[in-house]
Amino acid sequence: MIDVAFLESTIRTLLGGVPLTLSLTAGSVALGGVLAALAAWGRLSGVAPADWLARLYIFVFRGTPLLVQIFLIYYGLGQFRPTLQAWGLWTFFREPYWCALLALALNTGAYTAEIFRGAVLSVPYGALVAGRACGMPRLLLFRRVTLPLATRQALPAYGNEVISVVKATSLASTITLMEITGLAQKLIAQSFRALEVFVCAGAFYLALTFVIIGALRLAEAWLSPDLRPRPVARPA
Amino acid sequence: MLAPSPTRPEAVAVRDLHKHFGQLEVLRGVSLSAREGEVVAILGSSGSGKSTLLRCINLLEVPEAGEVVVGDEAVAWRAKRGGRIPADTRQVDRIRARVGMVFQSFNLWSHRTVLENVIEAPVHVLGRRKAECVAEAEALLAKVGIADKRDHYPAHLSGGQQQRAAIARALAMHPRVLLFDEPTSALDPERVAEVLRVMRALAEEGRTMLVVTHEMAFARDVAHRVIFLHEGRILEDGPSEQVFSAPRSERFRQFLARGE
Amino acid sequence: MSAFTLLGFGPGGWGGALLVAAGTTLSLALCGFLLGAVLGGLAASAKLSGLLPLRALADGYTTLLRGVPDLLVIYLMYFGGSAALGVVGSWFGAEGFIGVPAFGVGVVALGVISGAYQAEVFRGAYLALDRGQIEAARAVGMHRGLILRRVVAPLVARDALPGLGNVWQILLKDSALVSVTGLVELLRQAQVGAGSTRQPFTFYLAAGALYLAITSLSTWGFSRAESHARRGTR
Repeated sequence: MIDVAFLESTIRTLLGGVPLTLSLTAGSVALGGVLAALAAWGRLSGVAPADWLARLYIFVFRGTPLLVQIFLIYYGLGQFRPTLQAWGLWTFFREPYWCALLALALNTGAYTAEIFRGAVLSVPYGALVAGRACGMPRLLLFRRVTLPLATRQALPAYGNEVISVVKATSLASTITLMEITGLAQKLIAQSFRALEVFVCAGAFYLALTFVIIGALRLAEAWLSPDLRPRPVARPA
Repeated sequence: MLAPSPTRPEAVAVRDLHKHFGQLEVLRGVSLSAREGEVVAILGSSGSGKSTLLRCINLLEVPEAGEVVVGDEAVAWRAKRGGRIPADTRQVDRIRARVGMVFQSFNLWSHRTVLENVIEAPVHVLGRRKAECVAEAEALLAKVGIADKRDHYPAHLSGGQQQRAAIARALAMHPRVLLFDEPTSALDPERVAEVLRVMRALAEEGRTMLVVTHEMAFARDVAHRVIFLHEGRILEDGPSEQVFSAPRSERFRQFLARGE
Repeated sequence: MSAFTLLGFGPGGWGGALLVAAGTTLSLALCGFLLGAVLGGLAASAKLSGLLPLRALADGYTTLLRGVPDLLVIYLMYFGGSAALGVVGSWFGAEGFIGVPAFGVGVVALGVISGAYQAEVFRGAYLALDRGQIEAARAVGMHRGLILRRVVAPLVARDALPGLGNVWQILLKDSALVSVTGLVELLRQAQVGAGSTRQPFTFYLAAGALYLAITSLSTWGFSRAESHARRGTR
């Protein structure tokens, strides 16, 4: 028997978690993008210290569980509370929201850095030479040739990364943040109706995933004019 | 080359084969047979149905109508969904084990060495003892001239070497008939000769061979008989010197003139 | 107490406990991976089969599991498992909450999650198969089972290895989520240590280092296995 009233109240409760899930996703994707760009630049710069620093960052954050990173920042930094207070950083690290956001951003930044790096390396050498041959200075070459080609290359993998950030925000519930999964866990623990709550919460996440996939398709179509149907020749 | 005596028994025969892919009729009533020791070259432009004919003989394709006989065994059929399929899959496997096939693209198993490729089927299909098969495989590899490559993987060999390994793999099953499906078409020109040399030696041994090929010299000099297929029908079938010197069909004359 | 003695193996040291917990993490991930291989293999064959209902079921499974947070799946297994056991228990006259074994819940959850990823890996490897090599196997008279065992399985395994390596890495890190059920794996042990010594940073850093060691070793192991499997292909 499907208990419509229960489903309805579940959906209403979970809906309350959507803004938090969205804001964590948006914040960490934005900050993670900056970190990723910096790390990818470090890897590609040819400057040894920058390269090593970026490598270390990527290695550590891709090699450990996100949950450990979250706990390390939220609970772990508490060990240095007096110092952090002295530096005026405690107001930041006291808040589970900022800690979750920072951990998520650091985590996705490490994965995204590799996506960016791979995309830049995929730009055909011939396209760069052609740009240089017509006298483009380095920055212009990057902006007009490398960036558009690399963006299109990176898009599918980047889209998958954004989707995994949406899923990863669920871990914020372990440090008291009541986003969708946190609310779902509370509902399950209260009602013991795991399956119904799971289905509702899962539907929210799938819906978010589909929205992102749709946005990605649009972006891809917009960035790939060469894959559009041939324009019909106008009769003379 | 001297043709085998007409009193030798038939090694393989097909009668009135029909095969279509969707709307496309590829074989429209093809009959042919090969006696033991006979070498038959099958010619035709691309799309004439010659590869399909070969693949019907070892049942890699299922002809909608017609008979396939290998040795004294005729393929048994049963009806299925408005068409037909072989009635007994074990019979199919038995026939395939007796018919060696050499493919245009070699199709060696990439995860096994040359030697492992050669002993795979004798050991696992025929259930023969491995040591015995290895000894035999080494002799076969020596025969095709790649004894030193026994422990190489296919990807490390040239196309010509891969094709010779594939021929050794087919020979290891002691086949009654060898089918060659354009065995030199995927090779660099300088590699073609080494494969043709091996095939010629096999013909001289008295092996029964059906060879789909574009190598006119091979058809003229090595094959006893030549068959010319056009749009799913046989237009020429006779001793090779006769077919080449006095073709009956205008199509074959055109085919020769174009040098395909 | 210094971090060194705290994480050491002497009296009052947590080193031994953390290592044992790392062992639990490894066996948890390994069992989950094997279960995932079975589920993934089944789902991949369903996706490749001509049967529409089977295909739809498998597509639903992989889409759902790859779109929903892994933590949510673990909650479902943990609470749902207890509820299901409670129902079964009530038939036999038992009453109230029946706890499910946390290790079992973890294995099932990780298996179901990684199965969805492994299904895609297996499917991709199967679709990348060189049909000519299968045809050659048919042409020498191999029957279906023999072709599957001697040709298809080794080729698929070889092509799937890099993808499986990725799934394994994801799984290792996902196994930390099972700590929410109270199972004392590596992260949970670090939590316990952090709580009782009030040195959370030290303990989580130690746990992170152990995870890093495990994932690095895995990367090395998989690349060894890959170059072994790839021998002869380039």
